Amino acid sequence: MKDSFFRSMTWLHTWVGLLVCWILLVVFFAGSMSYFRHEISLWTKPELHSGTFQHYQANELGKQLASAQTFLHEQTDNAQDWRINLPTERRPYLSYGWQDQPEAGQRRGKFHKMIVKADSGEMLSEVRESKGGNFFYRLHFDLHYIPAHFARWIVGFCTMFMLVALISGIVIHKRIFKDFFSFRPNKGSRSWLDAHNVSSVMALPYHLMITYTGLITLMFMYMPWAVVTNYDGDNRAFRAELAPSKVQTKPSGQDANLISAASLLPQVTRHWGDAPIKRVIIAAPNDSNSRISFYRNSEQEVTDKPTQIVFSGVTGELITMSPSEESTTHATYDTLMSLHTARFAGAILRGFFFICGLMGCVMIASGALLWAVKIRQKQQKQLSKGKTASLGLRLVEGLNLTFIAGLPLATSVFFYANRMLPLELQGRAQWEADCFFITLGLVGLLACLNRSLSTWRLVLSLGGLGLISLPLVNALTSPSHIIDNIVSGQWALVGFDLLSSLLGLGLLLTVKKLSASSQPKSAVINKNTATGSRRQNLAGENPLTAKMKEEAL
Amino acid sequence: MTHSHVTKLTFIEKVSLYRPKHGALMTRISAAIFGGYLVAANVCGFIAALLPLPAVDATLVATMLSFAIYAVSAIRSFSLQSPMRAWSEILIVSACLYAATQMMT
Repeated sequence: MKDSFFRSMTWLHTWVGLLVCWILLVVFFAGSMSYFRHEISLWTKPELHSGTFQHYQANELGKQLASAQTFLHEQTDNAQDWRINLPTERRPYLSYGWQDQPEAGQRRGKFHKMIVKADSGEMLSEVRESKGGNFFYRLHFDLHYIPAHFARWIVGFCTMFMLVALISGIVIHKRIFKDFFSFRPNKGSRSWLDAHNVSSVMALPYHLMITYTGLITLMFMYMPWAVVTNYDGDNRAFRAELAPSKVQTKPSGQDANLISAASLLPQVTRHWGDAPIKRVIIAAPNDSNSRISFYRNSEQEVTDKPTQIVFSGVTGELITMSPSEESTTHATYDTLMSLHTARFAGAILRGFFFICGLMGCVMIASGALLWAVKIRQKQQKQLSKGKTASLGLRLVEGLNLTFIAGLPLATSVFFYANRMLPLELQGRAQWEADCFFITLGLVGLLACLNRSLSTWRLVLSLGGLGLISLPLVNALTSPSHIIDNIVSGQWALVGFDLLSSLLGLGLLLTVKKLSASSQPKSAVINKNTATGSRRQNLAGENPLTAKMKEEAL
Repeated sequence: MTHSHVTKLTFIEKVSLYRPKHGALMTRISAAIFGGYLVAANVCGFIAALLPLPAVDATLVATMLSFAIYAVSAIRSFSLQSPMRAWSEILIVSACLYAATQMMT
């Protein structure tokens, strides 16, 4: 009985892992990139790189709010809300935004955003259209080209598979502690298994945490049954109790004079002291039900505790504020949420999360590669008689090539498109995303024709070259290059350049390693020359393992 | 070490040794995916109704726990000898919990 349990868990782990691994790889990769969402967004808008950066200044706040309000009053007509985004560490510029009334059939109105020059207070015109870091952020739960609601169910389903794969993986891993320290290179499929084990076990707490908290972020969509039981399915009533300050008041339609947001600052200070404010939102301006909300910059607290304070926009009376004391349950929920988003994390911790995320990619990729290698070994006899590999094997190998080697390449193409596409192009932001998927599609097409080691090398080196040259592209197409940015202390931009070239370097080293030992190995991956002894085949697989390790580091 | 011969098998050999019959396999998979959700949903509603906490907190706890229940139930469907047993367990547990929840609310 015990043995059959072990065997069924092994079976479960293999198939649950394999079935959804490519979607999971995209989700993990895009999710890891999302840790640097604001930094990526900043990099993709070179117009912001000069003349806009400023620090948060508490004593300038009143002036900034007043001029923002004047500007928004002149510029907008019947806007749904006004937003004033104050400079933060990760978004070091001041911007004004507003949202139009939704058009017929639309759930949300169009967003507008203007960025303010630091020295003159004038508006920056002509900022390129780009999704930037939000592209990766959305990709990791909304996918692309399909309705968001549907995509979230797909991602949730795959995440559940991931959770089951993790648990069954732990069950079948009898020697979890010993394997922690063992990586046996040049031992063929044993090395693949080691790579899979090392990347899984080393970051296991992270994998479990990110998978479970990922489900938590959308849990009311996936599991509405507690709300059904306690609130008869009335989501609005539940949300109103969960977060009273987030409830939006419907505009009354009666005009009223809006008070100055700056005049509320003394009240805000009374509640929050000198805590920095990151955003002020004025909902339904000039309506008798207008609301002015201040959002606190919660910086590095693990739970986002008192974050919001809401006033009436007409009388200036305090309507509600996030409670400073919250229930243990609520604190747990907030902590789980912010563990997933890592909003509390400083640059170094975020970097650490990013590495763990990449380890997750390695875990998924090495698992998928392990499957392909094992099945190819099993079919070795037929293959050596000149028969073709089974459809399943060809499919898995093709998808592996497309997603494992294709993702870094597609990412670099996305950033090239960001800098190369003409600024006046219609639907420019969407074109950038299209370029990403066209690249993946091309790699997929290539994988249909040829899945040999040379194709892996080609795609990986293109991706590596693409990433490693991004700092150069930045220097040529933006007002400031990496040295300027170091001098002016723009660490977000410097970090982007450094990280992309490091990742590119890792990929190129992998290709070098693949080339150095390609002779005996081509037998394994190239089905046309799939002869040679078993020993040689096994020796050949290792460089890809090495690649995985390098990517992880 | 009566089972020592088994541990010597490679990973893939273990996998290929385990060959559930097709019908049985589909029953198991459906028990894991749909049955698992059914159990998780019912446990979720039951805990939400049961906990002597304010409604918001009970709802939060129940919903946060439900995914763990789902995972455990899915794994149980694969660890039981007979897939029909998995389905009958799921249906009985769900029915009891559903009835209990209805009585409490």
